[in-house]
Amino acid sequence: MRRSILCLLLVVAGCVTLSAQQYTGLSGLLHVPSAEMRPEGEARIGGHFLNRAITPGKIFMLNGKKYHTFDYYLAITPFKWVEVSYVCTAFLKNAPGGKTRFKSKDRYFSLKLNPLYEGKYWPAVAVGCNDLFDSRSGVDGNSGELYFANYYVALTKHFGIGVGELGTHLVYRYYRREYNHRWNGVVGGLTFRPSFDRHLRAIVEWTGSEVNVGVDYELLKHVLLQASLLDGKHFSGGLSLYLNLF
Amino acid sequence: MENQILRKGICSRWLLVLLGCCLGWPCRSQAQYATPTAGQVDIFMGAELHYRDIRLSRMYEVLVNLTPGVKWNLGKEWQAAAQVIIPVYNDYGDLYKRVRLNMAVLSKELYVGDRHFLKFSGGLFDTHRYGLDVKYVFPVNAWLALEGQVGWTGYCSMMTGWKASAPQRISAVAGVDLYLNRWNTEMRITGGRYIYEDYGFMVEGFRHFRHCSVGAYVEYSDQAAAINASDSPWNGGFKVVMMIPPYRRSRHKVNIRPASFFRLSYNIEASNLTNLMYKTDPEENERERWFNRDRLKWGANTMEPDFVWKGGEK
Repeated sequence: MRRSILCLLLVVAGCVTLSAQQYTGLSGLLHVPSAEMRPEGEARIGGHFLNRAITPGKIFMLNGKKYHTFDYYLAITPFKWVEVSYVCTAFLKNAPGGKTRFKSKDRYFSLKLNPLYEGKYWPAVAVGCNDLFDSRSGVDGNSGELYFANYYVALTKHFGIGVGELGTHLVYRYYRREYNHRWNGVVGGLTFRPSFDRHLRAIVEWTGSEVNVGVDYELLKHVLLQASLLDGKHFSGGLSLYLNLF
Repeated sequence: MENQILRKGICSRWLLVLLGCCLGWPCRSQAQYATPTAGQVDIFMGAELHYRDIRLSRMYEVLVNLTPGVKWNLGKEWQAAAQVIIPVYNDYGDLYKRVRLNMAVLSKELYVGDRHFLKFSGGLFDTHRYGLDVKYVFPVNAWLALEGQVGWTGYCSMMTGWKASAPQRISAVAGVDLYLNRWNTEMRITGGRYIYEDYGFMVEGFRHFRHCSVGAYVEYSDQAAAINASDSPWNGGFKVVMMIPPYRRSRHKVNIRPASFFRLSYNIEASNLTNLMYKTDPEENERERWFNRDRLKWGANTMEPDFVWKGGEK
């Protein structure tokens, strides 16, 4: 029965191939961005469980301990050369009775531009940023916010290798806050989409300080699931619903 | 840290509005657009969802209202419209708990030649304003249009009983619309004096998709500090207007239908009182704007219609 259901899901799954740096709502790998773009006109809504290994520095700490959290987002590719998203990440707070609750959140916008599309002999190029704007002090960021602020230039090139498609991704990234500097510099990764199931994508990436592995899978034409092990051991994952508005 | 989070929380506010909107826009292509005929009455039910996060003790505070409304096409471009707000769930406080009239408007569209589009409205508008209003659009060519709106209004609110003031306030805005037909993309620059006597301007960009429009905006208000206690005169955010099904509708003398669009808007500074103009139609939105699309074939009105009659009936 389970096998039948799985087969049915595979049959009805959509034909569009997607990729996601899913916790921000934009395309990419796991924690590393890429120069891939979502299809023009696609809108996305989703949520992601964020292991404490992926959250910035000491910001997501309570009572001296880092905690797991989650985020949720709206994202869209209004034109084929730009992606934008709006992300909320929950903060855990102390509550009466010695309990803790998610009571507030951090918000940020992400933006990615794709000035050069991938060609036969050259890679796609993208530039982007997360958490660019500080609502208190503008882009100067003096308020101490911009917890996720980073800027990057990404190159992506795909190769057909018979059994599937290999994606190569090279990124230079700069995180603004010092507590995130371990993710600065040259980062990147490899993706593999097997020819027997184009909805599946396997990912391995180097973030600048650790190696992450993960998979994502498209389901029922409108669902994207992602699961990953950060540093090979810390689980993170999420679900995104997407719809093309054309 | 607490203060930082609180400040950032105050600087964000969501407004999700579910409203009814369906008729009044004819089809310019093969499909027959659901154009109302003289004497036709539309009764529609929408809902509003507002939520905000200005307290550390709660993730969100929520306000849910039902917004039933009625539109009566009186013929010859006259229309009577009304809308009521019925609170269903309220975390916002006693100010928002009353059932109240939100709009009661009589309006007349007027066309001078094929380029001058005027709409006169009088009555109770939303945002607690009542009075008279004139809207004007002048399409210069396929990609450029000029627009303006002038209102003479006073305060009128039923949120805490009946409160009103004499209509003494003039508000006026004017702007330029650019429309890139190939991409169904619209840029709009408007500025002037708004209903709380602030001067400012707004730059909006919209991509119109099938049944949905998505846009971003930046605005400036010289009274942001006074009106909203905001640190900055600048603000920005995004808007989504999505027409919701059914897109094929039956036509009767009296039509009862669900809400036909939802509108989601977000602004960084939580300043929903700056750069604000009232609406004169309960179904007014950034996608369909002010005029009958049969007449004003410009901008998003040149796209396939969102709503058509069943069976292609004229």
